[in-house]
Amino acid sequence: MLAHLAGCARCRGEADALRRLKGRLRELAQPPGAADADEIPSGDFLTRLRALGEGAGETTSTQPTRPVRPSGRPARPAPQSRPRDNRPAGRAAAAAGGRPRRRYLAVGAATLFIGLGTASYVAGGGQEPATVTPAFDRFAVEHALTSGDVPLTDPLTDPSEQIPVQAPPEP
Amino acid sequence: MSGSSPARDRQRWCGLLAGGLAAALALAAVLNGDAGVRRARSDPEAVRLLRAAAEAAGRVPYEGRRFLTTWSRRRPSTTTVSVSHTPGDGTYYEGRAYRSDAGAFWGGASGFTSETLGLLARNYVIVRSADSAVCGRRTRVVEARRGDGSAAGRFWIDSETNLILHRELLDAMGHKVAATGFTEVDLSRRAYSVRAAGPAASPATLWADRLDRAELSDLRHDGWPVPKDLPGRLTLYDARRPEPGGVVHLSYSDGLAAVSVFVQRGALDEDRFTGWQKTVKRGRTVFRRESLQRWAVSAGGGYVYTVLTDAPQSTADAVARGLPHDRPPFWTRVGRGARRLGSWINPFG
Repeated sequence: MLAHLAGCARCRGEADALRRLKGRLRELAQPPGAADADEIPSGDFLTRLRALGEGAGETTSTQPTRPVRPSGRPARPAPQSRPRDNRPAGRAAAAAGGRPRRRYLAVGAATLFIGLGTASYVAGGGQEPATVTPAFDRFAVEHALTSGDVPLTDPLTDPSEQIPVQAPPEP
Repeated sequence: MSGSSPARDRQRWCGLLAGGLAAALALAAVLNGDAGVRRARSDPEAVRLLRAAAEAAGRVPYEGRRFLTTWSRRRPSTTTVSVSHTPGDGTYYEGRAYRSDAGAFWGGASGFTSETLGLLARNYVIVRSADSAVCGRRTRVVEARRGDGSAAGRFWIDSETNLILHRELLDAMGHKVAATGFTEVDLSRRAYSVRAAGPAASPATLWADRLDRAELSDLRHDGWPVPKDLPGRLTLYDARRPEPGGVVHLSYSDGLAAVSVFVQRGALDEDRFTGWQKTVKRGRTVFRRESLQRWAVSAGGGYVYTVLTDAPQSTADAVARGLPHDRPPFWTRVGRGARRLGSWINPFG
């Protein structure tokens, strides 16, 4: 703690103020002199004043507390001697609860992506193709019609039309 | 330390400047190469002839015999069919099929749509060539040339009616890859009744559900592989399906060659491909077969691709191999799943 106070001007100032207050209170607890008897507050007033300070200290403690989860590790001592956390509330909350939420989001997105990708890959595959035999006779006629040729029977598609080799006509 | 920092900054700036300059030069070279193709301007008269030929396909009545020849390792395969066309009614194919003019593409049997004509003009230089004759009729010849000046396709257009009587597709070596046209044609008949021509033929109709840009975007979001472009300057110009959720037909073209890619959900039943040539390249299996047309089938990532084209087999193979075969990326799958989950949860969805 002393090491911290040596480095932290703010905490050092706060400790000095507390120390001064303590000194003042100690002085108040000493038996007063006769001359000062009228200026000293009553014991009842001082008790109420101290109680007020303790109550105010309790109500200003608005830090969110996480439930203690059971774990196998030995419990750490309560951070009584630790200086108060003066960091902004937003950052502290993010540090406490933001990371798991973001992690859940990332894991969910990754699962969705992989799941959809796998489903798409499976659905995108063609079914096991059945064997087919081309309809050569139909194809020959269709070819002739689109190419403007005469839809002559090809000997391949109709063996009865096998043409003997003969000299082609010349223009 | 502080003295070397400005020097390092200067070095960095110099590096950036040099890199930017190199990139600009590379870009200029690429653009210049492309512009080289464009600089050799297409002949407006040749372009006009092709447009007129596309319009004539639906306007001109005719009767005759059509053929389709494809070459595989220089060996030709040819098939022929009698055909008759009545404008406003349809085209009848020798008792086998009937195609109504209603709902048909603009350009009909010319092989052109408005989109493929645009692609042809973009990817090739279109010029006139020396006039010729087909089936005893005078024709004007239009040639589509590559950037190096080699011919990639030729069209024989009837001088009187503008009907395309013959067309050829050539590879880079100048060899014929495919040819189609008339072996005999009669353009003198007028009120020809297609329906009275023979027994009822099965109607050949395009799949009704044509997919617009928004629907294609939805399909892509659902994981369907719908590339806008394919190797060889092939551009998607049409997409349709018979019913939602089934097979999707993607039509690609560079203006000359037409490549169809049929995409359907599923795995490939490889036991059904007896007689097909199986090739495995860079871990990808492609079943290929050359008949009159070129087929290539592959599967991966839960989809089966059937590629069909009149272009060389190497084109079909490259397309089948280049289509997405891997499982969707992680985030694509996750995004698709998320959308599905959303649609399940959404009561208004």
